[in-house]
Amino acid sequence: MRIGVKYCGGCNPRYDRVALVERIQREQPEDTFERAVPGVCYDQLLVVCGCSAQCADLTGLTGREIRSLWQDHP
Amino acid sequence: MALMTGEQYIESIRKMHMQVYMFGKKVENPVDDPILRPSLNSVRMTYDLAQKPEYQDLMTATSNLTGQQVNRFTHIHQSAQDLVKKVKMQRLLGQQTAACFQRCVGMDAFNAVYSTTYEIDQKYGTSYHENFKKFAAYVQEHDLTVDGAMTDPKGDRSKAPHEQEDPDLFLRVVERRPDGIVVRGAKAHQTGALNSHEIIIMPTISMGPEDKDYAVSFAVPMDAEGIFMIIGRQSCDTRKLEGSELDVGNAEFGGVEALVVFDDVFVPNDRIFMCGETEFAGMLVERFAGYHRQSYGGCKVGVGDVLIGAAAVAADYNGCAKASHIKDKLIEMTHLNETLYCCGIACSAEGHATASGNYIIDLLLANVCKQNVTRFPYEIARLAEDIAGGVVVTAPAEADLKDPKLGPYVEKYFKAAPGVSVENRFRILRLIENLTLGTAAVGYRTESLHGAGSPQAQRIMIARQGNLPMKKELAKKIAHVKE
Repeated sequence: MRIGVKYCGGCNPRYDRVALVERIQREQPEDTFERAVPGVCYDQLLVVCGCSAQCADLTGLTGREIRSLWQDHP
Repeated sequence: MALMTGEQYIESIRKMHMQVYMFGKKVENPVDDPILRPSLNSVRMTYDLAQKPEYQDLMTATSNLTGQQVNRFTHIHQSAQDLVKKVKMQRLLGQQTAACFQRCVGMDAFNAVYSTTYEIDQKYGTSYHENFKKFAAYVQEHDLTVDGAMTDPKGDRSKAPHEQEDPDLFLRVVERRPDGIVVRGAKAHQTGALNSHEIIIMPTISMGPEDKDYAVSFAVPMDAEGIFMIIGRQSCDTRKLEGSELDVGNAEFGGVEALVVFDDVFVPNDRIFMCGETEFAGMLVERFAGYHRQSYGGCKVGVGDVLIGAAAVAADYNGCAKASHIKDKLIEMTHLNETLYCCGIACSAEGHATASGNYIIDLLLANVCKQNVTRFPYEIARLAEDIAGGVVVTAPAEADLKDPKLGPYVEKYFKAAPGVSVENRFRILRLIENLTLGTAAVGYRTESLHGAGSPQAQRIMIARQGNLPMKKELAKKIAHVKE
């Protein structure tokens, strides 16, 4: 699965967002992870936000599935 | 080149030929000067974070001028959401540097000048807005740092600019040429001027028709001929020359202020954004001040996050983290800090479009935000010192800790909680000292009081915007008052 990763801006994250994505990458070694960019439809758009506000700007980003995370233990 | 890397930024500043003076001498290499370098590192962080995917959502924006991705510090706000993201970005930078990162004044000047020039042009048919858009696009394309300079020395505060005994106490036009103007004067307390590529000048107060020569706004490179800077002293500044990373508290980051002198500086016509339109001076001042008062609801909160964290670690190291009054003080610090953040977010969320199309904050809420900033950081700092204990100002130097004869005694008598090294305890105490009464207190305390306008300036705006007549009517209606 091709997974596009989109982070929120990280102003006051309640957990380590990058560490969470690294863990998911280790748990899903068969998938490819890349920085999400507009114009690509990913198999999964992984939206990683630092808190419940979930303010990541998804303008122009698309995915067949959208997986939104905002805490360390989804 | 839309986004510079941190290293490219450092080298771009190194290539400039700024005239910098400190301790009565010219600083030949400001970039590598041990007193000044931490302030450059703070600005560098605004470039470094913009390169990282996990921060780009806040650190970058899409330019309305070029359509390109730009650093948010050069962005013209296009929505209330942009204003909210600005505050969040500032909190992030405060957390990462525990210092003033200096680039906000340029962003705030950008947005104030953008809308004001539009309205001047509407009235007078001038071309200031086009001049400014051209300049802004240049800044965005090259990812430059810009100092927004407003505060004049002001001389006798009871007198208008044209009434001053020395006419240069407010920056003014001294010569008009076919190709531009020549200006003379100075701008005081200029945060980050030293680390900026360009400087935007704005008038500092509302002006009358007699102040025509003083109602001037423009931009020039920081190394333009005739500009020089005299660096302001900071508490404990020369401690950075002693070679101890531990003793300075925050060895990597800091802020810097300077008096920037304009000794007959030429400004070409296409860099002029206001020249003589006195009735718009007040508008520009009010808008810049409003944006900058919003800014403090982000940056000071981020620095406050670090100070609260430092106080909590000090409590751990002192072995008193479980004491109920310590927990309560940390709660109080958090409450105060998040209240500031609430104000920063609120004045942003309630923002609206100006005639030019860019977005401006709610002025009442921005002034309430800054009024709280004149108070709460002092209380947060007091509580941090309370939790840390008197040792924050009596601990010996790193040299004593490392001394073969004295070190064992320092280790013995400054030992606190089990498993905590004295060196780590000192590191946290020095960070608290740095933020509450060292070099960083310039930014966290006194700048919180006077930066973006002293407390009374906000109270005047709160009085203007407070809508008291409506409140009186509410009371009369509820009380069934018939007049």
